[in-house]
Amino acid sequence: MIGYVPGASALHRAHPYTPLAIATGLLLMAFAVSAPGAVWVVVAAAALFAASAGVLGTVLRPAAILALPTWVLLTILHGLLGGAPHVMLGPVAFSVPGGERALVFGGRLAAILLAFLTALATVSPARLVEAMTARGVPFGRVYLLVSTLTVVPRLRARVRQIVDAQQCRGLRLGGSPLARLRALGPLVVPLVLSALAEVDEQALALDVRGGTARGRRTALEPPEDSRADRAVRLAVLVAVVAAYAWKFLGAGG
Amino acid sequence: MTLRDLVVVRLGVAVNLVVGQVAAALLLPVYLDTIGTVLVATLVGPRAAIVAGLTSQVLNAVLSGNFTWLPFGVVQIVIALYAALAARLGAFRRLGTAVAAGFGLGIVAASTSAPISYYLFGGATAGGVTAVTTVLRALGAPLPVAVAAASYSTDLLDKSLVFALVAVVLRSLPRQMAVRFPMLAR
Amino acid sequence: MSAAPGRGHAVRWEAVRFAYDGVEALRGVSLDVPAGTTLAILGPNGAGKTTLTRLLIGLLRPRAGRVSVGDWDVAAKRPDELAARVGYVFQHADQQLFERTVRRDVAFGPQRLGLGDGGVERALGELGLLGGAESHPYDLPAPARKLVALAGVLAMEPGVLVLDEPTAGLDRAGRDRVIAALRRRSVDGVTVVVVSHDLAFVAEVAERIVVLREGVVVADAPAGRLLGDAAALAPLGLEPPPAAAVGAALGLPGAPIRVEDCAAALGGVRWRGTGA
Repeated sequence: MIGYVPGASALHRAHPYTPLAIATGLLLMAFAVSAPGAVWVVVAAAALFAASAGVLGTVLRPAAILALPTWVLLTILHGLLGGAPHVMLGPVAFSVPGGERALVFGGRLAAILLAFLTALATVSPARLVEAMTARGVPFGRVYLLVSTLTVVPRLRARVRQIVDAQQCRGLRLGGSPLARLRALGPLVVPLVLSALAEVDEQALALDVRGGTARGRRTALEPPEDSRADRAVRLAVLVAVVAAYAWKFLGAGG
Repeated sequence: MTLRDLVVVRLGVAVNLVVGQVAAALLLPVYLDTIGTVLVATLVGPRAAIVAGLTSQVLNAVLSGNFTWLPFGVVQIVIALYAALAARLGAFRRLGTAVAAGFGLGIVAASTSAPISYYLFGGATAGGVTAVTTVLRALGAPLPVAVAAASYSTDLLDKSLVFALVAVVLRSLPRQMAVRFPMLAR
Repeated sequence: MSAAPGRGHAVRWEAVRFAYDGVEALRGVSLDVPAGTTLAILGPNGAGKTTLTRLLIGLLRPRAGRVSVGDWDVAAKRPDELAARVGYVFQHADQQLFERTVRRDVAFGPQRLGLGDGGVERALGELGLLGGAESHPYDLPAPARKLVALAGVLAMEPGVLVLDEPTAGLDRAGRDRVIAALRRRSVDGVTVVVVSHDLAFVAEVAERIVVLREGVVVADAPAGRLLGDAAALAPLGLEPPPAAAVGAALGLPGAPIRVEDCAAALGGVRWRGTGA
């Protein structure tokens, strides 16, 4: 599944910034290396990251589902349609350099997916908000990220209602491409207008609740940022800088 | 940004995230997922639009689990700035100019996203685009050409439609709503 | 094109079953509604009321059973085709508005169906919207927007009219206009199906009442008999509408359930009282 998975691992208990830093570090590492073997070491590191949080089983499925179609296309795009030399795998000629490229790009996808799905599974949204507030991140940014997630399901339901209602007024969803393009107006315009009509009401409601854009709230229970947390994040930073230094300076020199 | 601007940004992000449902209902091969960003650019301004675009990108990744889209955040910034400029030049006053400006954005956006797709992912990202890339490659086009052609073909239609729809929305705004957005008066 | 009596269609659900993700919402519902009837569907939230009506316009397809409107089998038609016979007013219908004037928005449906403007002007007049017909729908207050959406469906002059909570959020004047418009449609022979929690409104328009609970029909009776019978309503979790309660408390003749019938009966009582 995709989303927060409650747990008691060290990563669950860590400061919310730490899993996010590790995931970002893994993403940057995946692009820093370019040999197939090195990329898959990063994938293994991402899998280890997930396993240490006890969520490897949970994140593997969505990661595989998201990555598989792209892997298939990469295999076709680079493996089957790639350049010489080729090896014969049964009846098909498979490009060797293309296959290597497919491994690199497919590995990057896998590493990014595993890393961020793990971060998503280990960082509780409530604790992240507390941590950001404690760090003095303006209310506006925190509000934007969190509250949009509550608006989206409501707006999704509204899209369905609008699609239903306009069909009941005789709007056909199918037909020629031109007819379908023309149907966009009666479906998109009411969505945006009805949402804009709520802006002042929502702004007023937030104002009443004391949510001014520049105001700072006091975090109720700021998550502890331990020495270990800071050490891990520093290690991630050093590793990423070293990898890019080696990539650009080492490869050039 | 005022609190009200923030509410408009939130709305733009939410529209970005749900409008794909409309395209899917009509079986149209477009995303439309920048319509909220462009709307915020016209109603509030470039800074708010950049925030809306980047937030959309992050939330899209969080909701779908597909974090491979994160590097394309750069494209969101380009779209926000272009849309704000187009609004200032009055491109949204007429449907024809809006479509033309949207076509222009399609070129700019594809020129930004194609290199990201090519260099970072070997041409494999964003579902439909990859399929087009693969077909073109199978027909004998070199990989960079296939990636670019796939990006351009989807972006040109998508961004032209987004700009046209925003122009229609702005024209459809009731007076009471329009006067509350000073940006529109310019 | 003015509506001629007898243009309504019979509506029929035959042993209909429906489930959302394995949860049964309708468990074998059969109803036969003759053309020209005004039917109200009552029941607690989650009883299957809206599911039942959405099957009529093809927005949902039954898992088993058959739904028909006149001689049309609903299964063979798309919602936009069914719109020629069935007008459906959603609970939050005000969210569907998008044209720049009230008149243009009301005319959207009729234009899709290739109808003339007669229905548009009639619907605007009936709901008291002619004065604001050139306004932007969003420049009107929310209750008026709801009436605009209703007008947009009335203007399509459907033979079957389905309304989901049509009085929610309406003021008194708007409510009275809706009641008058529905009564007029009923006289024209239109079949009307209303889903509502507003029993006072139901009492004003309905001829027949069906009560759903957990996906089955638990009561099906003429409106006058069911709404005037507090003992029958209590086990269904319903209370008689105010006019019926007043009528029962005073022992008024004819057990009225509508406000005007109640007033007429009260007048009769006083008359006899002073005459004695």
